[in-house]
Amino acid sequence: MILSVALIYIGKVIAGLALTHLIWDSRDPKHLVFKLFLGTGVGLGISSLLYFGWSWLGFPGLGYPAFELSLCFILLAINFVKEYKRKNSVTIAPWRKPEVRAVLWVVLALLAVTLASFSFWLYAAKNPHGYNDAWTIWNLAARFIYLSGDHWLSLLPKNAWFHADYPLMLSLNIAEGWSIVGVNSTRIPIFIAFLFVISIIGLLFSALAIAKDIQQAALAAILVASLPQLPFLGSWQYADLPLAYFFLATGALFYLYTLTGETRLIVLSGLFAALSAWTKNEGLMFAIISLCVCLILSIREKKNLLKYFAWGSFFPALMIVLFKMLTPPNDLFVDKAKSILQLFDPLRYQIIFSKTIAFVFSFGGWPISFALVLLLYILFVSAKPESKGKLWLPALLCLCQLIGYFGIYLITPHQINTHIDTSLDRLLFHLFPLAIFLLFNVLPSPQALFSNKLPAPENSAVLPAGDKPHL
Amino acid sequence: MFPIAFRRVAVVLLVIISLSLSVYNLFNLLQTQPKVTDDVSNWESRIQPVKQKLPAGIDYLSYLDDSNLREVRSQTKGELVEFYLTQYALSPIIVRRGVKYPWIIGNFSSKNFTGWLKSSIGAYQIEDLGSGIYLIHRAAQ
Repeated sequence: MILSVALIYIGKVIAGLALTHLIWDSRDPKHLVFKLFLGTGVGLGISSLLYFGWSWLGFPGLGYPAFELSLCFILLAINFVKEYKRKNSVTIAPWRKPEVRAVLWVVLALLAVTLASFSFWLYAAKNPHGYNDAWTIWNLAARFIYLSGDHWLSLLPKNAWFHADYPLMLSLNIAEGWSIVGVNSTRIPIFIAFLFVISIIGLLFSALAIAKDIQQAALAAILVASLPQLPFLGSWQYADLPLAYFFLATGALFYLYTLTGETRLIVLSGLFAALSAWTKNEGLMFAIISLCVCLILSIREKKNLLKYFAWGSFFPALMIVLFKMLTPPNDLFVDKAKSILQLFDPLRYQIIFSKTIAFVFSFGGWPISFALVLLLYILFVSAKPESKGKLWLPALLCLCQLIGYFGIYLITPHQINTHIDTSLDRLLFHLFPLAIFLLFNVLPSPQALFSNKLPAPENSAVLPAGDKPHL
Repeated sequence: MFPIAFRRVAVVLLVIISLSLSVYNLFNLLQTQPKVTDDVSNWESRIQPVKQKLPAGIDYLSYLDDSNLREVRSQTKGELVEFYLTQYALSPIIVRRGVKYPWIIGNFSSKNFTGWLKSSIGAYQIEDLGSGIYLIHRAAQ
């Protein structure tokens, strides 16, 4: 069965890649690898949105997989025709023999990914149903969708499952997988979780390979893959890992836009920001922050980038509005007066600050403090920051989202210590891959350190001829 | 800024620490005893008889546990977990705490709930499904 499960979701990733390639048709090998990992989010994200739209229109759920398969074939056919026509008009970047050192770094990164994968499958074997939130929220929603047939949408206003207002990206993908294989097997959510574990590492690697160089990309991938928290959180089958993936994709796409000037990357960043809102409620805040960041960028560049952002985010935003019209209100905002009063309680600030510091230093799951090791590394290797794009974009995304999380803890109606203890490690993880992307763009790469010279502008393939990098 | 040799050592050390801690984590995982069955699957087996006994077409079920017998009705963590596991095991039937619906699942640690139950819902039929799980049907009034 695992093979058929893999085929279902690899098919979605390929369809996602095809759609991404239609939006951004670069043929640079590094870009293609990046687009492959973007394909996970586009494929699974759009698929769940279509499934929701399909159900909302009242079509029978059994017919949806065939509809989606037809769409995949149409997307692939359009790409083949387009590429065939381009064949003679576009020069494909020539294949260059890779440096031995770069190959060695990639091998080390693959070793780290293999170890992380083994850890993931061992964790998953111990808890095939995932951890608490998996069976109280995400997989439970999937069971309701799969088992209650075509009237599952009518269950949303009834608050049939815990937190029925939580977005359905993950649950709809699981439910669709179950409807294809014909049984609610635990292998489906496990495989989806595994896909996101691999995609986070792959996306970080490929984005840094474009923005910096392969050796730095491999180092960041090794670091992230080596954290037990990645496979562990993946095996919990929560939506936090996909959310971290969508945050990383949005931030990286914004940054790559500032390197290339390709407005199609803004279309994709709009899509990914909106898909994060379709993954978890925290993504709603992130999508709004992304919109504001895009607005600031538009003003600074004196260019209407918002329209590209809107093109990418329109369809997911429409589906989210339709979904939110059906769901009960979120439990965080039930007592607004009490929430406002809590903003003036200094003790809450103190608790949040102290707990955040403690969580940061215990983050990652290493027997030694990961944050401390990273700080020491930064201290040793740091030099004058040398980024070619506007790193303030992903930095602003991270900072605003952190402030937003801080605000949520301030106003939460739940007992604050319990709320922080049960969620802060996951909230920090949401921003962790994007923060690592940011950091490794600033830090000098092994390529620069070991060649004893300033880093070469390896991403020349990214920059259009004559285009100056933004400083 | 540190000399270049220090900085190179830092890169090598970071890779060594990362990879060795990955291996360490994996070995730790391999050494821990695998469970025969996980807690969720165990609970699903425990609830399985309820599924078999319930008549078809039931959309809602009520749920009672030891917390209903106490004067202060806050659930312990274990009681909360068992409630959510029951909901997960019985989906797509909607399970609600209380006695609103005629079919009720009782999850009790002892049999001293009968007096409380009679005073709360009046006449009822009950079936002991084992492991502290009871299927209760409130008699029509």
